[in-house]
Amino acid sequence: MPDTYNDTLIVLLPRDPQWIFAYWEISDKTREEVKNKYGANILQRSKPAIRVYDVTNVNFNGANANRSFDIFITPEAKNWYIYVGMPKRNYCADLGLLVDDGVFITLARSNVVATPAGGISDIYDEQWMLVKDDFEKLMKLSGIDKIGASSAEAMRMLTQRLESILAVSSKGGSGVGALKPGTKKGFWLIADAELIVYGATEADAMLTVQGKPVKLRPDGTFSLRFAFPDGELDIPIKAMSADQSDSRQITIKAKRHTK
Amino acid sequence: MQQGYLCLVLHAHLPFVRHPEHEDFLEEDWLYEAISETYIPLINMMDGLIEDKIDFRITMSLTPPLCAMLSDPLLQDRYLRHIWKLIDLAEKESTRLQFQPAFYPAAQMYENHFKMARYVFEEKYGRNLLNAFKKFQDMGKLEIITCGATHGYLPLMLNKSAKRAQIKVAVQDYTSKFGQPPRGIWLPECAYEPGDDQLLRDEKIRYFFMETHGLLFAEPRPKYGVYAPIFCPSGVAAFSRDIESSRQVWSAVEGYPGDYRYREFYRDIGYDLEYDYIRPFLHNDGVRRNIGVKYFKITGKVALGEKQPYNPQEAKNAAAEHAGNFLFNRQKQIEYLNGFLGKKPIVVAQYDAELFGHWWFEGPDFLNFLIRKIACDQDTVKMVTASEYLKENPKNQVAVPAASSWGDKGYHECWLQGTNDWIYRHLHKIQEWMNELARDNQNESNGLRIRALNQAARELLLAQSSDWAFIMAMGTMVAYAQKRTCDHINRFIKLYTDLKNNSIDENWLQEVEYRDNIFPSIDFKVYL
Repeated sequence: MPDTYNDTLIVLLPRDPQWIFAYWEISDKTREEVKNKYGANILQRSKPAIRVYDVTNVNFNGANANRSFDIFITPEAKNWYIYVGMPKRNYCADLGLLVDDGVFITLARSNVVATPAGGISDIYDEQWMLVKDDFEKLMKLSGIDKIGASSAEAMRMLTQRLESILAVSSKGGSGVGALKPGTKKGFWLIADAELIVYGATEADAMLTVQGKPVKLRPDGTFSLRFAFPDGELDIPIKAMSADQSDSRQITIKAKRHTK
Repeated sequence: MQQGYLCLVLHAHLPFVRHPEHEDFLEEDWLYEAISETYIPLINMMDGLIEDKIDFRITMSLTPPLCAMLSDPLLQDRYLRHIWKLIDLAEKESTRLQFQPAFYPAAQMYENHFKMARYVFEEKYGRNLLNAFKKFQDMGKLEIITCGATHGYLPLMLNKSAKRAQIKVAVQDYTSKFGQPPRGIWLPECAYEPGDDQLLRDEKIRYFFMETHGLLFAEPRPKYGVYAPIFCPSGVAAFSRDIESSRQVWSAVEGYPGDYRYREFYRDIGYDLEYDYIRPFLHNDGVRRNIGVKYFKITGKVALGEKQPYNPQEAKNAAAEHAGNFLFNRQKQIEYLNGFLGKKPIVVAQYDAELFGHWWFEGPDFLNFLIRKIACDQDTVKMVTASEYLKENPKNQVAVPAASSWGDKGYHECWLQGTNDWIYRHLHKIQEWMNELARDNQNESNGLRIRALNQAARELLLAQSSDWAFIMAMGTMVAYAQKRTCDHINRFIKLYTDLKNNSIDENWLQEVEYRDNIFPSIDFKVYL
């Protein structure tokens, strides 16, 4: 993506009731023009700056702002978060150079942004009014002191849960199967075993294991995997031919003992 | 006697993720998981309610990118491939665990779950779940609302034309998919600034949802707090979220989903099971990731290795219990507010749809129990849609809502911070160029050029998805979000340059049209 579009501009975006964001560019052409107009050494005689104007309820003409303040930016900077401190105000900004003799050379003027209200309005509508105490109560009921819950709440819910799990675990990893890892902290071992029973028969035969039907692969082979607890397990494997005239059975007995 | 209303709003959104150029693409999983875990369970819930003749009202926003993906044949095919694999796995698991009575019920549950999902997706609704949602809307039970075309973050869009296009394209897309224009909208991220409502009015949208403080900080003060909507000066109604009903469900600390009986998210077989066995069900790179099959319950504040086996019946009972508790709280809340305000309050309970099923596995059961209890066990609370509420309550206070969003801290910081603020220079520039292209080519008749102009509009819209900035801020799949932002911006710049030089690369254009195929009938003149 382009590093620059070689425009001269400054753009403001609102961030919250007290902060706005600015980004800007100065084109090569503008730099040349400035040097031609003010002298080649203008950049040494001046500091790059952003002049922020409060233009609330004003048709801004450059000179009629309610108030203004300057921010000095570094020459390499391309954006800045600006603390304006006031909700529900309109702001505009000039990108420019503040010369050592006090003159401000404007290079570009921004759009106007409004900071969000950030709080309960001072204005009442007579037809839609509540007594002050009732209104405060209503605000509390509406959850005014719990504002700021985010659309990332579900993720945060899970992240917090994971963190609390990890805080309790002696080792951060997940367990294997249903085994409990040892409660001792430090060196540890987890081990489990599962049984694979496999074989083959005619591709069109019917196979049952422990009485339950099992699907054969197209070539007549099968494999089954079992988890089983300590103890003995009988696994009768029975195949019946497609025309039901013939059958075979193999029983595998397995014994598991964990120490 | 009815004393108030409950407006349940589910926001169903996923960013447009479709990668035909890759056989197996990780981020497409977001869609498949949402389908299996959230959308199909919700659809089954609604079908069940209708079959049992239980009346209900739900509002759902189905965003245009989500609708595009649900109707896309490539993604439909891939979903089927995905669910068949899960069915295969679930059958193997049922076999594997048949001698483990502590785990066998859960294994059977998953087998039924996936087989049911496949049936509902493929046979019942012909691979397009929008058919289900449209059916419920046509029956008057579900109100589907729209959202920004690509979930673009309006307050950071700098120019009105950009905002207007997000709304207009969304409305056109909705109308073509649901056979009627949308009555309401969920603003992306509930992000609003004064004046945005006029754009909604221009598209004949009658109401929108916003975050709590947007209404509480309105000017003048809202007489009923969040318990009644206000009319913006444009005449569009603004509804806003009741925090109490959200907290009971969302809150990491107090919310229902943390109950010890519910399924534990972090014990997934993708990590737990023996590698060679599970390998065929992982992605092609063989990395262990969540598969969506989990056998343990939360159990409490215990180490992962000490979690107890998940018991589906016990979890269902917990969901019923919580539904009863939620309803009880809403009744008390509504009774109190009714007395206090002298008016039937509307409690707007808005949630990300994904909370139900994906993040909180038992969420859809909870909703099912809740809706049935509301219908059968009481009459204090009545379920309602925003449209119905406005019909019954046509007179509302006029006020200007405050700029706000439902992002962290309540404003725009989540989408405007160190990790993502660099995107706006580019987004605003290509927006400016799109306006220029629309102006200069409004009488264009050359087919190839028109295709390029329309594709430029698509690339702009896709670049504007607020999801990319959000992901960058969350730090989860940052590289992907950065790549998407850059890809769409660069594709736009190439289209712009080619159009200005009248040297359109037709093969390249065709490839890009195939990949970024959202909004097939978009008209670039929406940017005039």
